[in-house]
Amino acid sequence: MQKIKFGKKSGVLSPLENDIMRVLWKSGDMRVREVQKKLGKNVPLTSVAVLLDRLHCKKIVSRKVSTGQGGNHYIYSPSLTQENFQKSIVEETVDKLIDAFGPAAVSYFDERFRTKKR
Amino acid sequence: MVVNFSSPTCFAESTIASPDMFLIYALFLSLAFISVIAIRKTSMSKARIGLIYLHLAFLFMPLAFLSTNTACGLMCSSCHNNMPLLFLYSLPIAVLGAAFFGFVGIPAFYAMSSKRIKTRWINDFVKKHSELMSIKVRDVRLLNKASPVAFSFRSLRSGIFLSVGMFDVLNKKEIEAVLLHELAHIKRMSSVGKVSQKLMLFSPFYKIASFGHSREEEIADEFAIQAQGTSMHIKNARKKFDAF
Repeated sequence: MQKIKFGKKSGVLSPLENDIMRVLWKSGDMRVREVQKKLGKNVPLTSVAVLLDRLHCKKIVSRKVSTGQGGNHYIYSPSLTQENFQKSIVEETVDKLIDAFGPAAVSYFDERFRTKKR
Repeated sequence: MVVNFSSPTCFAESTIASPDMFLIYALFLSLAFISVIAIRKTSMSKARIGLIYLHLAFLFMPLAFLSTNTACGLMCSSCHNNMPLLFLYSLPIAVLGAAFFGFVGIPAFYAMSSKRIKTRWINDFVKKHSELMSIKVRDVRLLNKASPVAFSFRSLRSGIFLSVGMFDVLNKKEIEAVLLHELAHIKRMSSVGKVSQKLMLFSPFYKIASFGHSREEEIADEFAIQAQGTSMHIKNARKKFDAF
């Protein structure tokens, strides 16, 4: 049986990445320091910066450089709304399962939907 | 050099692929290997830089030889297939090529992939300290990178490069410590040695050359500590650099 390779996005977010995303979905555009403040835990600034960069590489957040009096900073914002992000993960996962298992996966989903409807 | 454009046939008589020439190319590669051994055994930075360029020149010599011979052949010049003349023309080409790449090519590449920092306190800080140190720093440039990165070049356009990530994770005093560290590098021309070491990456013998942590870094740190009167800021900056 072939190994299923899930995309970068659908790889489950780590607990801290999840917390960061919740902050961004709630508050919108933010700097690294602002995200760290909102997290309200003793998370080092460098860890937040590393995770935001990782989320940017996965295209889950977007960023732009802003120039202010203090220097140049990244402003991070979520690429998708929370609802669309969840939807895209489900879509990607279901697609991969159908690709890997074909009719077996389709009939299983069909069965699950019917059970749920009842 | 005698150039005769009237006879286009001389290029066809090239002997650059002859067994004799391959022996010469093998000789250059052997010299490149010997120079790497010399780099390994030399601790003096200036001598090391010279050896690195000599090594690269030997390494690129077959290429310079081939292109010089081709050019001589195309021009039907007397240097075509003439070993002593070819050597005479190729050596400066190879050395200049390596030096141009290091002093102009690499700084120009970074200058093109960055933009000028317009933040006033940074430019004022660099201006003030570069004047005190009697050095010329053309500008401070910004790299679009999330990890904290800082480096400098002492070249035709001396400059300091900082990444956006530096501003995201370092505070003002820590950034100033990094700027002082980079100014010390420019003053001491450390980048010449550093670029030379980086150039060695193009050599297949890079791993044999063994480059350790440079004393230059410690000296630049000491300068920043002396200027700020505390080691706290440069140490904190280093910790944040290492966290990425």
